[in-house]
Amino acid sequence: MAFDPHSEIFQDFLLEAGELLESLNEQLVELESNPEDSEALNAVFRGFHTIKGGAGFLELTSIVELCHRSEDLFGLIREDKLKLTEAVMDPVLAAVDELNVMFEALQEGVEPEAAPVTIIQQLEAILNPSSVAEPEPKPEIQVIAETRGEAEADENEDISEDEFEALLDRLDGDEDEVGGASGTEFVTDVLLKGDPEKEFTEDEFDLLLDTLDEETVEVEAVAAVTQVIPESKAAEVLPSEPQSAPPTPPAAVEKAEVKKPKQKPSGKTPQHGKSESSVRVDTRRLDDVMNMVGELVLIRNRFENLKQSISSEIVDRTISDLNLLTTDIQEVVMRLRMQPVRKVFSRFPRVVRDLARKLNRKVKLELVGEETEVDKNLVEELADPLIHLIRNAVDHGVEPLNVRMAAGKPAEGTVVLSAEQEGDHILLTIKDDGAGMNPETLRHLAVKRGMMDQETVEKLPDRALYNLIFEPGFSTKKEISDVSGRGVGMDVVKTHINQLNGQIDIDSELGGGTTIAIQVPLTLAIMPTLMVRVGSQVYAIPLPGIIELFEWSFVEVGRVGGREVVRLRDRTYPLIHASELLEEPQTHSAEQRVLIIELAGHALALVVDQVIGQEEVVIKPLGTLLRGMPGYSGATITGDGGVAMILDIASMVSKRAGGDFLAFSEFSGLNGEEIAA
Amino acid sequence: MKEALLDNRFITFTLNGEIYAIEVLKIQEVIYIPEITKVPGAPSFVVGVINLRGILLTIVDTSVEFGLARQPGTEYSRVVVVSLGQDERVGLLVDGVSEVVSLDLSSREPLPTLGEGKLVQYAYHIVYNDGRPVILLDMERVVDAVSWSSAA
Repeated sequence: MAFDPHSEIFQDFLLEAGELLESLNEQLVELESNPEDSEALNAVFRGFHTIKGGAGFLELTSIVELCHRSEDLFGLIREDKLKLTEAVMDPVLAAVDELNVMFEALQEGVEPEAAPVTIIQQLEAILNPSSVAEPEPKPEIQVIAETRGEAEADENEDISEDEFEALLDRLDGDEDEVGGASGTEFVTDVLLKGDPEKEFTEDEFDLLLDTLDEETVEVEAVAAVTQVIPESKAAEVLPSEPQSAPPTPPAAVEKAEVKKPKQKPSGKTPQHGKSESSVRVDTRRLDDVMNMVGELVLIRNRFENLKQSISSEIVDRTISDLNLLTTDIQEVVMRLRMQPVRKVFSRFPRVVRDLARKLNRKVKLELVGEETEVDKNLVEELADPLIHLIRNAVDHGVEPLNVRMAAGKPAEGTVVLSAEQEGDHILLTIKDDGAGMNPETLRHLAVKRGMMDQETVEKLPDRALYNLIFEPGFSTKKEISDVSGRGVGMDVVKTHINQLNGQIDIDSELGGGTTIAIQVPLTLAIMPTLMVRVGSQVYAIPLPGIIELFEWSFVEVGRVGGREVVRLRDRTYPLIHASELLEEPQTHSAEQRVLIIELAGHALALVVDQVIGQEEVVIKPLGTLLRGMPGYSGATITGDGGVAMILDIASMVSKRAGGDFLAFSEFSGLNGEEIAA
Repeated sequence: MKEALLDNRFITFTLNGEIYAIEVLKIQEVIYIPEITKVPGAPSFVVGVINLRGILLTIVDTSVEFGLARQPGTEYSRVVVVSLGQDERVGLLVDGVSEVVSLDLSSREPLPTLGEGKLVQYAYHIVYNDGRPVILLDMERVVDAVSWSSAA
């Protein structure tokens, strides 16, 4: 089969093997920390085996090479002939990394390059400690040339063991529905065990042929094989006839014979486990449906607007029916796009393991709530910020071994990554039991970096200090490590989370560890907002941050430090005029309202010219020109067909009010005391 | 310049009395000036955004960027919707759309140096059509240069 990245088989392989590869990472780390876990061991073994099978069928030899050896290696471990140590794990993980690179190439439709010799050699060295020096000839099974079909007419063409097995695997896969002891498996058994006692019964042979369908190459392959069986005993077919290839040592053939029967059942298990009630759908189709539902929501909103001008009971009722139905559809479609966060979480054990080894620390990553589901796009968007934060926790959070010992802590540090749903939000926390942050160091740094003066800094509550690390250009680590950032990291993480309409907060206990909490909405596509008018335009403000709403006349304005503040419900908030942020003339009217908005660690009072009402909006991405512009998280189409910009208050305020706003809002004691208490 | 110029039909339009041209293949449509939603804080050449049949379209006025005076809208003002590939498009505010012409690109000349003007960054060549200079505009280049991410 030629390399054809567009064939359906190829795409299926990419998808399934890709998923297997993803879980391999996690399973491997799991296995390393718990070598006795035979379930994990089997899963890893199966994973390699299945990938190998598919790759073999598609003649992706470089992938086969890596998987084949890794599989052999875990085969030995299963037979207790090899102990799983770091020395064994390292080359395997390197092989998995290499596989990842190959898959990336495949996804771009490029045939992957040959596997690096060093990794193969390392694996070989473990497999055959004695024969490291001499190049190991690949175990081969010589099968009659016809099996290759017309594509390759070369008479001397060998089918490698891998390819042969892949072929059989493929057959296995196809006859799933037939179930039971299948014909092909039988052939395999006869062939590979070389059991001379076994004979094909008529039934078995028919069954075998039945299952083969039109896939000519395979039919030919098996037919060729089956022809051989009645005359010569299977065992005679096996040893490869030395042609131009180097002589195959008997040991290699034996190895193949011994292993085969064991591999068969394991290779099949994943297919049996699959539920038949699920369907794989291209995500693009889901996106299309989502977009259409978005449009539907907009039309619903338009009807809601119309309702005011047409007053008729029947119209009202119809609209409210439409309303209910639309909400239901929206909900269902949203569910369709939900994926467990495990999809990103599964990468992290590996990240932590590698990093901990590099830093020579012991760190265990605990995952909690992996089943929590969030929107597919969000899952992907969360990966980068989370990786950064986790690396940070391992690098800056967990102390070096000797420090931990001295502090009387267990040698192994723990990082807990947890996810849970909170209403229409998901809460992610990354908690380490490391050194925590020293408020005094932070104070010192804040002054040194010129972020604020000594006096301000001393009045700043600890919690606000911790949040300083999300400010651009602030890094507490003295030396720069190649592991986590140069102080460019945390502010980028925060920007990223803000772009997802999320919030990030941090708390720390000196000597006890640091906890970072991230709150993001479950979905990115539809957002509840409060529609407000500022000047002549309508804007949408994400509802989650809005705490309260006051009439302007109710509010008393004072001045602190040259800025306007308001005091409401015993708390003082800095006052921001939306008209100032949005370059509109400042006006006064009875319709003006004050919104109390709380954003990760800060709160403020925002004056808008009019509150129009609550609306669920569909977020439309800003075009190339404006993408990434601070102050907006997108735009939406309003009920009357116009456009309303969706405000990202946090970034807009910090952009306009300058860096001193942060210090100011903390200084006014908005939330500091309450949280600290 | 690229193969895109193989098709030598261009739409010409006026900006401050100067004639500009963009390949016909890159023009999605020409629309009347709709009601534009301002985007406070955006770069000055961004006039705002509009809803173009459910898609958000950013409208730009390049006259400022080219160092020309911004003209008040007239009955001839239009928005030329230029596609930038990959589902991206941008609306260009022009003083008037003139015609579709075939330009003889073999006679194109490099743009005369215009002092400090930024135009030279976005347009490389002029071509004479009926004895009048026509500036060949590369909209992708304009967008690349002025988009928020590259500015920030």
